[in-house]
Formats: sequence, C-alpha cells, structure tokens
Amino acid sequence: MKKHFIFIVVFVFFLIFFLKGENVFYTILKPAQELFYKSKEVNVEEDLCRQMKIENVQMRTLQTENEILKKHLDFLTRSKDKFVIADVIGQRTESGTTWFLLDKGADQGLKPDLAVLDENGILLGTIIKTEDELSYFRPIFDQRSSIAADIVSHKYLTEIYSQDISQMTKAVSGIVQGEYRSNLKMKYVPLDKEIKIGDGVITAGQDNIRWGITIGQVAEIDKKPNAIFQEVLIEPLFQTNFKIVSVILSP
Amino acid sequence: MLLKIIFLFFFILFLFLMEISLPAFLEISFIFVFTIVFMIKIGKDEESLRRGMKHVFFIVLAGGILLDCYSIFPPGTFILSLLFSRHLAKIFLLKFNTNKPLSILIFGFLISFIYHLLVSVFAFSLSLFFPPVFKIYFNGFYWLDIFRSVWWDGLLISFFSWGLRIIRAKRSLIRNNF
Repeated sequence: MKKHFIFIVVFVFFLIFFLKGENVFYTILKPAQELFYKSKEVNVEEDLCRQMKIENVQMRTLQTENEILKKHLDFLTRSKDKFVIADVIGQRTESGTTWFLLDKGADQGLKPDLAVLDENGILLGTIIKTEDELSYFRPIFDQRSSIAADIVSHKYLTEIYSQDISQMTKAVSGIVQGEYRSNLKMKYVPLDKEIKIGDGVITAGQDNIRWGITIGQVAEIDKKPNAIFQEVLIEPLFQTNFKIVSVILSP
Repeated sequence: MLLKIIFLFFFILFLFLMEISLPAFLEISFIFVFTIVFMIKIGKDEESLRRGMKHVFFIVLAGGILLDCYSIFPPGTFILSLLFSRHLAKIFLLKFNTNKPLSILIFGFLISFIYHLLVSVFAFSLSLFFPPVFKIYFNGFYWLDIFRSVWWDGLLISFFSWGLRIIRAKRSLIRNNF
C-alpha cells in the first residue's frame, strides 16, 4: 500500500513536471528569479545609462568635429582652393622655436611653404618640413615666421572674395613677423602710407601662399618721424585652440 | 632586467606623448627631467651611479630618438644634448654635495640651463650638415624662452627629487619602527 502511494506521488510529480513542469518551477522559483532579475535589471539600466553617456560624448565630439569641418568647407568652397584637411597631433617649443605636428604629409601632397588655415580661413602658419605621413608647421606668431602681407581697408576685407585683385593696387604692403607668443608685427611699411586701426591684414601672395588669406587686423601703429618705415602691431584673428586645420595646396 | 627595460620604454613613450601634447606656454622637457631625477635617485656614490648608468643610457637613447623623430631640428640634436647633459650631471653629482634641498634646486636649474643651451648649440652645429628648416636668433625672446624652460624643468627636477627623498625617508622610518 505504501509502495503504491509512493508510486502514485512520483507519477503525479512526473506528470506535473512533464506537462506543466515549467510553470511549477517558474511559480516556485519566481521570487528568487525576480530577485535576480531585478538586480540584473538594475545592471542593465546602469549599462544602458553608461552606454548612452558614452554615445552622448561621442556624438558631441562628432558634432564638434562636424561643425569645424563644415566651417572649413564653407570658406574652402567659397575660395575654390585645393586643400587637405589635417589633424593637429602635437606641438613643441624648444629654443624659442614652436612647431606643430600634422597627421598629413608628402603623400597627401603637402610640401614646405604651404599655408595652414584655421576653421574660419585665417592664416595659422606655414608648412616647414614634411615626411611621408607627417608634416610640421610653424605658427605665424613664431619669431622666425615672416610672410609678405597687404593692409586693406575694413570694407574691402568683408568683400574679399568678390573683389578683383587688380583693385588691390592701393594696398599697403609689408612683412608680417611673429613677435612673442601670439603677437604679430608688420614691418617695412613705408612711412607715407596711410593706415587706420581696424584695417585688415591679408597675405600678399608669395611662392606657395596665394593672395588674400586673412591674417588679422591693425591694432596699433608705431610711426616715428625720423624712421624710413612705420611698424604696425597686428591683432591676429586665428583660433588659439585649433585641432583641425586645412592646408591650401599650391595652385 | 628585460621587464624593467620594457617598463622604462613604455614610461618614456608616455613622457614623450605628454611632452608633445602640452600647450605651448608649458615648455617642459619631461624626458630630460626624468633622466636627471632618475640619476639623482640612483645614488650619489660612483658605484651606484655606474650601476644605474645603463638604465640612464637607455632612457637617453630611447627618449632622444623619439624626440628627434618628431622634431624640426636636425637629426641627433636631442640624443646628443641628452647624452652630454647626462655626462655633465654625473660629474656634478659626483663632485658636489647635492643632499640639501637648496643644492638640488640649484643643480636642477643649472643642468636645465645647460641642456637647453646644448639643444641650441647642437641644432645650430648639425644644421651645417643637414638642410636647415629654421634659424636660431639669439635675441631677447630666445633667452626669455630658455628662461621659461629652465624655470619649469628646474622646478620639476627639484620637486620630484624632494618628493622621492621624502618618500624614501618615510619608508625607512616605517621599516625601522615595525
């Protein structure tokens, strides 16, 4: 009798197990499962939150990069220059010389004396040395940098891309040299030439640098009566914290 | 030994990356600073300096090659400057007493000044053999830049040397007490 009872119990148990076993186990284990599931659910939420934060940061980085690149393309499309966009990967200052490293080199068509521009099309410096996949550029504010430049009136500067070069005959020419840190000075400007504070300073066109690239604005005029030339202090207009630059290839 | 060299190499690589990533106003030569601090750390007597010089030579060589690879100066400028500075630092450490904090500070400024001067001298000398891409103007701005570099490097050398000395003193105090 007892054996039969055990047999019936085992049979019912197996019957329940094979027919509804999953549900029975689910019902029995539900509290424990819920406990684990909830704790897992929290982890999932945390993971999701972390993932979203990462994606958010990545999106912001991409957005910033995209905005910079768009600005680059805006002025490059207007100026119709051939260009290479490069990332600034490092910088060094030694013995009073500053140089920046770019991730593009001779393989991408870069060569010494090409102009390096920021996202607004302002001159940052010139390429001084190239390797196959790497190049170095000297910023315009380095004291070894000297670039032929023209001073043009403020009105002209705003319409720079729509004007004709032949109208530039009245521009005042000189040499822009780096002073200390981000100061620029324009030298060899004839004393009789009239310059106003706020006038624009643009490249005069030399070797591999085309005419008309914006450098800065006239901030101060140093006119000594006995001197042959006057000196002009220039306020540079470039972005100081540049990460992406465009190199204008020679025409 | 091999593990130490591998660790040193990665540390030099890290220092190099720091050096080329710093903003322009912070003119710190991390590899040079590390070389000098390492030399101060390994000891004052000739025997311990001689033993540690192998590692210093490796730091100078690896660091110099990396700096030369990403520089506009003629090849070899940084290796030679670091080698000569290492040699001069060894002479200074052996001849003069650098136990006092003030003497470390003076030593730091002096060796930094010599290093930056050596960089200029080698850059100028080697540019006679390689196509020059720059000129050094020994004007007021040059000296101002040198002064700025010497200031940062000298301070860092002193700071790290003092730090290491304090840590060493505390460690020996703890060891003696327990």
